Amino acid sequence: MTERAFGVLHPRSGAGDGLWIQSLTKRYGNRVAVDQLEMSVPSGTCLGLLGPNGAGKSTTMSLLAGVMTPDAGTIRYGTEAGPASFKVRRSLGFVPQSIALYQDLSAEENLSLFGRLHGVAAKHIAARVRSGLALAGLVEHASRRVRSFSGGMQRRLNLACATLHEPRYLLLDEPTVGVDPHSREHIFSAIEGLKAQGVTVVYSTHYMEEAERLCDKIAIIDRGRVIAEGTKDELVKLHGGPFRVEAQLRTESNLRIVGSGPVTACPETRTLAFECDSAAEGLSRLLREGDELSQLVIRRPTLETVFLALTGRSLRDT
Amino acid sequence: MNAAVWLALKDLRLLARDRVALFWVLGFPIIFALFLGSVLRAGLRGEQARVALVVVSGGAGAPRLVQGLRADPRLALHSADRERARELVRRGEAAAYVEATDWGALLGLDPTRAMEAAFVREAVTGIVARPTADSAANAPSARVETISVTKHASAGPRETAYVYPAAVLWGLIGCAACFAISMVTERTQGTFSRLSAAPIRRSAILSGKALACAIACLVVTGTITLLALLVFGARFERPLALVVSLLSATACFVGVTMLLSLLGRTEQSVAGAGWAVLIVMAMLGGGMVPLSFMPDWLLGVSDLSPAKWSMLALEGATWRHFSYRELALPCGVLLSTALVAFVTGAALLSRTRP
Repeated sequence: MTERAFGVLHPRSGAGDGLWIQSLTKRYGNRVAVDQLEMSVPSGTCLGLLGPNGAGKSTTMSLLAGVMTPDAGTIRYGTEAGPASFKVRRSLGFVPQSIALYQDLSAEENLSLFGRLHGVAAKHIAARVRSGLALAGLVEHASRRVRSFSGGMQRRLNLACATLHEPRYLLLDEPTVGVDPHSREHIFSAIEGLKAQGVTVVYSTHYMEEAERLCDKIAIIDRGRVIAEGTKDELVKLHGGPFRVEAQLRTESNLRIVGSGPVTACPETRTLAFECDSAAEGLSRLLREGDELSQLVIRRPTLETVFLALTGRSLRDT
Repeated sequence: MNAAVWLALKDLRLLARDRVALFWVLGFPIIFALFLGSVLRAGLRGEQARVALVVVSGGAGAPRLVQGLRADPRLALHSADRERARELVRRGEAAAYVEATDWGALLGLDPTRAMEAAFVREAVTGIVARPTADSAANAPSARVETISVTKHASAGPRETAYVYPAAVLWGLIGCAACFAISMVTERTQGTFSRLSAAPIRRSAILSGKALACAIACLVVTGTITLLALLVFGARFERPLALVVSLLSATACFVGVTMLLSLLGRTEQSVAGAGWAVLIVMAMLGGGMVPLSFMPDWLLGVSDLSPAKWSMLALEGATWRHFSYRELALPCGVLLSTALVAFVTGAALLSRTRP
């Protein structure tokens, strides 16, 4: 890609440390895993990659980390073409989906090794290892072998090993799979702390609540393509569909709902359901009837609704 | 410090902490080498159909000796002068040479090929002791005198010196087989992804593995050498030649191991393939089945086995007393094999998907 073409993708001239992806493509034989992917992540923000199994999230992360080579397309870290160059790699932290640690090394030995491999100077390594242990909440377990750690401890260390060289970009591929709520909360806090320091984060996950909490923007990927992108509110507004109101009346005197739109009513159970554009609209329609309600549920569209609406409900066993 | 060195130190540290793996990488090859190597080398040599025998040309009794030996289909006869015959045996290209003398025959034997030597001695004695038409009935019976072509008096107890190369070979094979899975282990445990994302070349990852494997191999071969020297009383006259041969053989097996480590996606497949290839290599190289057992076409194939060249280099540096010029061929073959295997491995690794 030429500088001119890159300029079209990324109009913010001198944008600094953002991450820019254009026409990224990766094939495994005849199967296209990543198909002409276009994304941009402004500096210091977090982009969430949401997608079903086999959507191409991990392949995208591997391409961004330089673990795999794309068949076509361009990745740019700030002003640097990457991630092939060592200069770019020194600014990248990659947390693979699996726990990528040496089980018979201690926590501090793992940190030290990956720190050195990422170019941390000998005079800084001890201090960085201490910081890494603190980030992972493992200061008291520094000399214990990883094999003896719980899944949550290993996940926290997995994250810390990617941050020892103080990367400007952090690529997290489902970093909380299988961890307990305490460890998950610890990992979230650590990522939020890194974000606050200006680290640009790409976060791949299955979990909607993680994307909602951590990500400034969310890209929903399916079959190797970005099918929707925006803030959570933007996605919900555009793709989430209407609110759904489900009410049960005390009497069956009046099941008619004033206003437009279809209503599903069931006299036997005294229930009715209808869709509307907001919770306020739904409530106002019910209140106009004057009936007492024995039960009321208002289902608002969520990121999960968006996800299922865009990717379908069929199983994706790849 | 170089990334490869950090990775090698990591592998050695992991090895040191896994006692079972430590035994299989370091302990077992030494035991295997000392016992099986010696048993195989000492016990199996020589039971073959065609024994290479050099008949020294010239001398009154030579035609009769040649005529008698030629009748034996199990002997492959060659003719050469005394010096050449001696050289052929010393270099392991023939089991023995025989020279007709006034009093009978002189046999020059390769001391590692005891079974072949016994067979040759029996055949030669049968011819020499048989009365000829012009010999007097009461003449003193002819005799066969044997000499060794080596200077074993200065090489410590003979058995140790002769067994040493085979012991080292089996030590290298055992160590290499255990290290063959280390690369695929990086992939299965996920660390290869993290290493691939680090600012280091993939060849540095392979170099780290190779360095750790080389250090382990040198520990094994060094231990075998120390045992040979301190416990079994071997003496090696040319330590520099021995070091060159050991380093060449180690480099070759490390290179082959690195290549093997990339020829599978699971630990089971690599471990199986590794042992299979190394065992076949040892068999073809004479480390398991004596070369003298093999038909001619298989002997040609044995030139492709690094085990054969390792044995030749180590024997040449110890009791065959190769000159440095003679050592250059086996050591050159070993180092070239190491280079080709490593470069091929590095090329494969660069295309490997984590």
